[in-house]
Amino acid sequence: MVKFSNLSHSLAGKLIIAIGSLMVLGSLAFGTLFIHFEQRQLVENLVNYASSLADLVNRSIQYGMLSGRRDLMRQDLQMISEGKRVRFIRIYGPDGKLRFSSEAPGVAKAPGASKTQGAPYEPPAIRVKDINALATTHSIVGAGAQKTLLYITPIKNGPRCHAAACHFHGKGNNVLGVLEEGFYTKDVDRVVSDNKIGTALIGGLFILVISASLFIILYRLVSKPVALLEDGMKRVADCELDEPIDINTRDEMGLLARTFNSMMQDLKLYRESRDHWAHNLEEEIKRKTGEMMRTQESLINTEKLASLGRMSAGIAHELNSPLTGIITFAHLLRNRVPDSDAEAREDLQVVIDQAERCAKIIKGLLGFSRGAGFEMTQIGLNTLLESTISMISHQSRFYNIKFDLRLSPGLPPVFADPNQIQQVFLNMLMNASDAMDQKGFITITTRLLPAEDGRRMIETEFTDTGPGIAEADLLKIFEPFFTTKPVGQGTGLGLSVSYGIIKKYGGDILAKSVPGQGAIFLIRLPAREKGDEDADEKHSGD
Amino acid sequence: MQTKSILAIDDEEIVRMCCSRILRTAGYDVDTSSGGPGALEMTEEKKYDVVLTDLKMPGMDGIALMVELKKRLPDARVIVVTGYSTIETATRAMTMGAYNYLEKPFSPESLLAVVRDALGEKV
Ligand SMILES: Nc1ncnc2c1ncn2[C@@H]1O[C@H](COP(=O)(O)OP(=O)(O)OP(=O)(O)O)[C@@H](O)[C@H]1O
Ligand SMILES: [Mg+2]
Repeated sequence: MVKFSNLSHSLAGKLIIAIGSLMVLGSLAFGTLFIHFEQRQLVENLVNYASSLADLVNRSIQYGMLSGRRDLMRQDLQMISEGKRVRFIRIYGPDGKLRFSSEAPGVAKAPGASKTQGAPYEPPAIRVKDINALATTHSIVGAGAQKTLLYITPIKNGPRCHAAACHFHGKGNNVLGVLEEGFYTKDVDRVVSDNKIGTALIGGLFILVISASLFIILYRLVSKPVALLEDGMKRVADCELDEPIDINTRDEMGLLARTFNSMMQDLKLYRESRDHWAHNLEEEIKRKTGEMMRTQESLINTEKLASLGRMSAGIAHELNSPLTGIITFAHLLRNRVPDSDAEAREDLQVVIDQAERCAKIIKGLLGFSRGAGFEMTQIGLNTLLESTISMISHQSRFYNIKFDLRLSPGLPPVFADPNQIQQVFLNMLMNASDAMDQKGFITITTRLLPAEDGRRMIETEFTDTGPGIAEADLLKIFEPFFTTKPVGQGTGLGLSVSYGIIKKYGGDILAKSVPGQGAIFLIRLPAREKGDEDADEKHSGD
Repeated sequence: MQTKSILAIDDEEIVRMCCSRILRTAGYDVDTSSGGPGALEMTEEKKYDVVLTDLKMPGMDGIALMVELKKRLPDARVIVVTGYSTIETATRAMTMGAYNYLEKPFSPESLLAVVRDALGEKV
């Protein structure tokens, strides 16, 4: 809203003051002119009246002169001088001497008549050089109540006069005398002053009405939209971009508001996209950080597996020497046993055989740590899963567990060592059985994942109805020796060995869990595609 | 025929015991040493026909010991005794002049076979 205290500073206020002043000046000029012309008109009317009176006087004089009835003439003049607004009538002779005056004693106006009040007018003797050249004139003299219009006109010598029998005035005398009439201008002054007041009143009213209308118009057309625009700009400055400016006119203000609104819209869009990007960046960074953490974790796991391999190799190596001792001394002992004691010889042979078996196991272990001794073939995961389930279903720990196999048909094969993949599956099943206290449901699902980077993956999902895995443990379960099982029951190697195997085949193994709702393990292995065979053959060749 | 002398070097007593018992039973003169420096000392006093040595011993690297032995006993044949996991080192030892290698754990038959072969005797 416009604050009225600020009016004189506002555009509307300034305009109103400017226009108001101009109107005052204009009305003053107009009023003055109007009064001036009005006054002139009134004076002219008075002069006309004077001239018609003069006519009357002239005629009366002529009649009086020609008829010789001067008394009658005086009477007439006296009567005329009593007319409205007439102050006096004076007649001068050609010599300039006063011959007649309505103000002469005895012919004074009736008492009470305002016209006669005040100091009597002292008529000056009219000095006329050439009476024949005298023209009719009028002028205003005196001030206040004595303000008088003087009308002076020559009394002409008409043909009726110089042809008269008296022959007093010859034909050569054009002018017989001078007639002077005095009129009160009070009426004129009153009308003028009345008009002045009226004009001022009308002018003032006019200015007031125009100013008020102007104010209303300006307020609606300028002040209000400007205030709305100002509000809008303040909002933008405060970063509130939701509310557009509500001006719907078709004028410049509306245009301004529309332009401003579209700018605000652009700003909003820009800010939204900026926020969006900022948010996305955050997400992206989170994702990358997660990826990095996972990579780091898998690196740690790989490192742990490698050190585990080194350790088992070391242990195996240490066993070589004692085994050599056992084998050697068993031999020596056997050789000393007489041939007759066949039983003793056979017993010693058992020691030798078992020690040599140990040696083979150790060799196998060392081979495992080197990644040698595998048989890579094409495996159908569905078949492998089915045979694994039938193998364990006779074990007591799976008696009370129901299996739900949801195998999707027509899966491409996987290229790996079936024994190792089966070991991974067994680890999953044992863990699930342990988690569920040997009773519950295990759902196994296989599916082909859509190709990513040109490679398709086969996913095997193990879902159980156990207690699930705490979020904090989810990151640790793949670490070697991490177990939540009592000593003697779990070594904590199952998942780490599985992880190593799956990673070796270019796959991935993930754990998900909603605590209380069971655990989900996802095992992804790359599908063997048609073109892979040549590459594999080459690989197995070296 | 003169009795052949054999030197067996291993940091583990059980291995030394096995070697000496098997080879003495077979009629050879056997000395044993637990490490590189001691073995080199022994070669100062006595000539050996065959040296059996472990490759992984504390104190002295098996390969370095073998090179040193070859210098002092140019006629002796060196047999490297090794575990499965150090098979690459054994291969390297062969290229450095070892006569043969024997995998641990070994049986008396295999030890005798390798030693007899090294001595040029009929197996
Ligand atoms: N299906 C599951 N439900 C709940 N927890 C599980 C499940 N599978 C694994 N775990 C948790 O992960 C831990 C590690 O499993 P892992 O197989 O590596 O070792 P383990 O089963 O404890 O011992 P091992 O398998 O060597 O006998 C387990 O101790 C258990 O806490
Ligand atoms: Mg387990």
